[in-house]
Amino acid sequence: MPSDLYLLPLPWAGITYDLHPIRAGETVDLVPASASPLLLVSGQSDRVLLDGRDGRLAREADFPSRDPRLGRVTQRYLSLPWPVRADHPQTLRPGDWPQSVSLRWGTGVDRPSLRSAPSGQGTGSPAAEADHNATGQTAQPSGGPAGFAYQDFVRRLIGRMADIDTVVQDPDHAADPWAEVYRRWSDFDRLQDPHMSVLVRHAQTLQGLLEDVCARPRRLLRRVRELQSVDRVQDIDAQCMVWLSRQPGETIAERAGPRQRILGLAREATADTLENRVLRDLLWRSDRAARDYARLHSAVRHSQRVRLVDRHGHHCRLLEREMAAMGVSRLATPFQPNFVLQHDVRYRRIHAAWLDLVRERQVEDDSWQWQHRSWAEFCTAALAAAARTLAGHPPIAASPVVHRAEQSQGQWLIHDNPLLVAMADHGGWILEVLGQRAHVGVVDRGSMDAFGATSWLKVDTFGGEPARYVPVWAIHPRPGAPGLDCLVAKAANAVKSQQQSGWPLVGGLVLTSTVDPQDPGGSAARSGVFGVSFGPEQIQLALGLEELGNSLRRLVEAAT
Amino acid sequence: MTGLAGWDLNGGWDWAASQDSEAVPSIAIRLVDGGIDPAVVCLQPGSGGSLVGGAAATLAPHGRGGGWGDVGRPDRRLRIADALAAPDAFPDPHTIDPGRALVTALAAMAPGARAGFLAIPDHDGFDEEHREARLRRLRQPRAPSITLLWRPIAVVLGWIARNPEVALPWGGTRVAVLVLGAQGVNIADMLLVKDQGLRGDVLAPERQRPGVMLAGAWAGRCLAGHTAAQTEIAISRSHDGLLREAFAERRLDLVTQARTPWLMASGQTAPPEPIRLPNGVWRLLPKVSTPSCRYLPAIDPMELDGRLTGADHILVAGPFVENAAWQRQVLGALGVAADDRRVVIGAPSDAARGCLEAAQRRAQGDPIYFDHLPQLEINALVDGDPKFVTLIAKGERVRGGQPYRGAAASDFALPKGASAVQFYLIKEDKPWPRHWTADISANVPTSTHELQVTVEQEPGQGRARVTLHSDSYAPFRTQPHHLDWDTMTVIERSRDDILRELADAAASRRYPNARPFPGHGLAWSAAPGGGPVCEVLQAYLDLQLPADGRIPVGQKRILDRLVAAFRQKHALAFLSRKFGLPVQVDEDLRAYCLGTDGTLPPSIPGIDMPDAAPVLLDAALAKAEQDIAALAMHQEVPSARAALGTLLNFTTWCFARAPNTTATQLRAIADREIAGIPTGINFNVIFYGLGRISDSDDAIRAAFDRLHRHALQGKAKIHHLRGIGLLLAFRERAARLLTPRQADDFLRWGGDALAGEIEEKTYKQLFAVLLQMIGALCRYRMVNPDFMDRNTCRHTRNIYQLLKAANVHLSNNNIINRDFARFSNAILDYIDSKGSSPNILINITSYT
Repeated sequence: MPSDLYLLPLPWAGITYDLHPIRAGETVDLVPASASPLLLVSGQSDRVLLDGRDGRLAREADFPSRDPRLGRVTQRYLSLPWPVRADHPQTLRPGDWPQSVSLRWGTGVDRPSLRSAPSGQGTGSPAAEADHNATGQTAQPSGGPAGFAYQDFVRRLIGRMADIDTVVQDPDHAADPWAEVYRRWSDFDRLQDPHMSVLVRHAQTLQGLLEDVCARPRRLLRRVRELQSVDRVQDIDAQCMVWLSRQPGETIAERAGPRQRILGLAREATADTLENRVLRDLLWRSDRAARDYARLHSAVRHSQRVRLVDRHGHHCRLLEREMAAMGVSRLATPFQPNFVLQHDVRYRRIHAAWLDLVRERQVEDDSWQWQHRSWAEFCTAALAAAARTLAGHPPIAASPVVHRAEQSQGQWLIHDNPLLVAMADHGGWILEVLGQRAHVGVVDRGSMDAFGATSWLKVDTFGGEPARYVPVWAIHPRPGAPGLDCLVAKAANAVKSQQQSGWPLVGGLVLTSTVDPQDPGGSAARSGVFGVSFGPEQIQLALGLEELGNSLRRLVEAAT
Repeated sequence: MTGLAGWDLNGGWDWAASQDSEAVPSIAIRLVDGGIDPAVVCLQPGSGGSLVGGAAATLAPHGRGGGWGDVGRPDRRLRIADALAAPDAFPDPHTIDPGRALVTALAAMAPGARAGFLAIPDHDGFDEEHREARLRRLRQPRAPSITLLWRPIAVVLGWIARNPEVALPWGGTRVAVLVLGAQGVNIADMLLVKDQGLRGDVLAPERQRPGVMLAGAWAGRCLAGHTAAQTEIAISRSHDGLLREAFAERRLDLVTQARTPWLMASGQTAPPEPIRLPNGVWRLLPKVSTPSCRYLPAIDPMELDGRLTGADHILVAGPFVENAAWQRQVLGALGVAADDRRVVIGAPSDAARGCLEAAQRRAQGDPIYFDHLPQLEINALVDGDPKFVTLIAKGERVRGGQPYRGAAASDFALPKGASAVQFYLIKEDKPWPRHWTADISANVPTSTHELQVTVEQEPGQGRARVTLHSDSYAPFRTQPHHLDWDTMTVIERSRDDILRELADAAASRRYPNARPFPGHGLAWSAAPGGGPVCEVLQAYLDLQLPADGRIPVGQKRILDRLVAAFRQKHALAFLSRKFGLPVQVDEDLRAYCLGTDGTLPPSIPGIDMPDAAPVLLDAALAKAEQDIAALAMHQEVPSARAALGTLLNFTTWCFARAPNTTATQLRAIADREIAGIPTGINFNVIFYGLGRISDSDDAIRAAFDRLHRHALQGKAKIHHLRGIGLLLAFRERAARLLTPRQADDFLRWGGDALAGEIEEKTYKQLFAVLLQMIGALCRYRMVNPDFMDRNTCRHTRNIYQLLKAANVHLSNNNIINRDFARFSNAILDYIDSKGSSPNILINITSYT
């Protein structure tokens, strides 16, 4: 019997049985209501191919089926990556299916291409744009303003995760890292120094080199055939002789015609070489990246670092135009680095810098695809910070946290569960924050993995009562997804039904992302389920942490 | 963060000190608390997770018991105390590798530090092997470069760095340090000396002897165990059944799974600790009072050896120093009064701070501390004798934190033709010497190469590294050899035994043995004309020489037979066949009746030595002495003169058994000959005879003198050469009695005679005599090791070339004695100092 595949429009749909079954061969449109789509695979197949490749879906949880009709079948939640292009359908096929299904994200957002500029910020050079388009590269459809907003959101998330890295790297905060994380995140006034990036490093180190190379680019002497006066011709080849033989006349003088010119070889210096094309591409990419950087850090646009990058971008733009005027054409990728790019003292650094930028772009592509998982992890960290603050004194235990050098399917942190165990001052409660893959379960009822929660809170007391749980759903909605109130209402229904069937739940927590940095976020509550909408932007985050603390307090109070 | 750091990983309360910037060392020093009861935990072991150390690991729930689920498994946590004590075994892939754990802890407390000092205990139990193992364990990818520092020294340095004003007048005083550690109390004393630093005077401790470690009840971890035990008692009395049950079944171990016992043991305030029972339920641990004093065993004052009583200041530090009750109790048990004004209390972080101070001092070139290295000796040839020379002198004061480099005071050489090189090392703190040998047979040196032996050792670190290097010998130039103490063979012999063996081995290749040439029993059966020698002796004893000195012909014949019996060198194989005896001897072996030391030969199977032989011989010699005296009265009578010569000859053929008067007479005769007065005695009797009979040192010296002086007057003849050869070849001490002049002259004469002999290509007796004499002259190398060096001595070079030429002829000619080629080759080897036939001198006499 082949596996069954379901689409979950909302993460808790697994417990409310609000599932969309998917059948082989059909095309499924994701409606905006499906805030962050989860797949439920039920059956034997342990792999699901995405676009024909295995291992591209993120495994969220494995658990035995709770549906009595299915019997004891292993079920699995899988996360889909966000497509880079919303109109490119994803194909899905469980390993034991003969046919795949096509998944269309419809009104999703596009990852902005390198060539598109955000509206209202069109400070780019139209000439350069025109030139790029004219040289045969198809202009990608723009990501639109939403695409840019999401891209900036992802970059801000990465910056926040880097904050955690800074804290856990510092031995002074090793004994109580979450207090420091809270301090950094809740600080209204402190304008954060924009994060160090490849571009900043380039701005610091490459200026002189770029100027030097652009002033004296490497040139080649190219052999071209052209009509020259007979007495000036120094070099001819077989083709020139063929041309000559075809001219009418007996002698050379006759064949040279009235203007006395014959075809000969001439040498002509040109800068249009591969290494200069790479240089031009580096300048162009640096310019684009500098504009992105300035936009992302517009709040601190007067900081030294932003100004340095801005200046660097401006400089690159001018140099790029100069290169274009010199006749250097655009880079046609892919290419093999030639000897000059690999071994020339100047161009080797140019090539390395170009690779840095390209790689950063690729990393951002990955981050784009798993932004919903990054958001979930960020929410877990925010919960830990808020729980630490709620307890008011150092935790009684906390898992060490290691920041990865590179994200793995949207996740930056390596940690074990519980991430944090906080105890109230008066000893009234013990609150555990459990992150992803916590495998929460109740001794006599089994696993709660089917809840699809991205993290859990566990509240204990010394009184001997059994522990009570709070599922936390971190949702990263696409444009047009239902609002926080609606999500909280739906989650409240789900929690209520589960409480009635005997699961030890205190309530629930729905955390949605606010992509627009100007949006102050908000909160909602409905019968024990709390919702907070916040984002990684400074003020949003400070407000969000406060709101999270309030929700936690009320949840803990409800539990004890 | 860049650069330097100091670490104190002690397993009780770890600390690190690091420096943010190298530019301004005095500021921006950062002390990092690595946690009480520090550990390293493993995150997500299934998916190639990573290790985490430092304070974050102390807070981690990992390994804290079954209540935490999978995370609480004991193999997820490795306590630093266990990592430090872990044996040096193959890493178990299922547990945390102690080496990686230590490096993780170092990096966690001082991220980015590239180099620094790590504190280690100072006592005999933590010897060079342990330090070497510790360093080896810390050699990991991306690990900082670690230098070890004695913890008491580090504590003093740290205290000085914190209180520079207070410490300044301490220069010249003795400081005792008590480190209250998890494994015990480490006590050491040191002298504080003022030394010139980069920016004025600095105080540097001088460690004059190892410290002592009081373990057992003195260990801080026992203190934690005591608190845990008290808590368990409180639990057993509590009304909480669940808690009581969990502890009754021993499913919880407070020492490893709770933090309170360690917090209290190190003197910190511990709030009531929530603990997770194995079923996941939370309980608060009952509060107990600060641990009461424990019983500490009395200390033998000998063990401390005045470390505390002789000190001007007593500095108390270590991870448990903040536990005031424990501190008082330890001081009390050690006999230091509570109000002793010498006592200064340090901080738990002092050792780490001191390690950083050491790193900073090293960076500036300031003295860190002074230490004494254990003596190290290596064998060498000093004036030709093997001796042990010091590589590291006894009690050598060296600067700590810097490698001590030294070279042996002696010259070492790789001899030509050596196929192996070997060395012995003796360490002061090890009972037995060790032996190292390397096979160099693939690259046998074609000439003697000078060898440099250097040693490098850093005090308080691992072992001394002894390096062999040669500028001229290619394999050692490109890749110097290291003598690794660990891989060297233990030789359970005393230094003198080794020296003796080395002396024998070295000498045996440079010169042959000189042993008395033995007589053979068979010769006693074969007097000239048949019959046993005893008959000849008896015949002489029966002889009554006429008083007027006119010897009748019959008597003369008896005398002649007497001489012939002893002078004859018998071919033994011939004799044994002649008498039909089952004596198996070599075909060409020859022997006299008596050994050159004058002894009678032992009995051989089939032929017993006549019992009367010694008596008869002694009687005959006594009679000969009288007869010689009588005959000397009648020198004018020709037959008397002849008989005198014959009898003298007889006594000389009795070798060392000859009467003293004979020697005196012979010397007198020789003197007269030298003076130009002819005596009518055969030179063979006089000069060869002198060689035969001289046995005492004075006699040998006198004999050499006569031989030398007489030969100087004319040309050295065969009787001189024979005499010289016999003395040198069969008298052990003779070579030492030669004067340098005599040795040189003898060598020259030998060369001249050899040239003549080889020119004729006859290879007769003289050739054998010369071979023996030249071989025997090699023995003068006992006195002068450079004697007969082919590279410097013209005569030796000449002899060498002559013998080489002779060898070509001898090997192509099978008419001549076939042993000559063998002998000559053996002598050539000895000239090259690689002889291998120690009995060659006896063999030459035996086979010619």
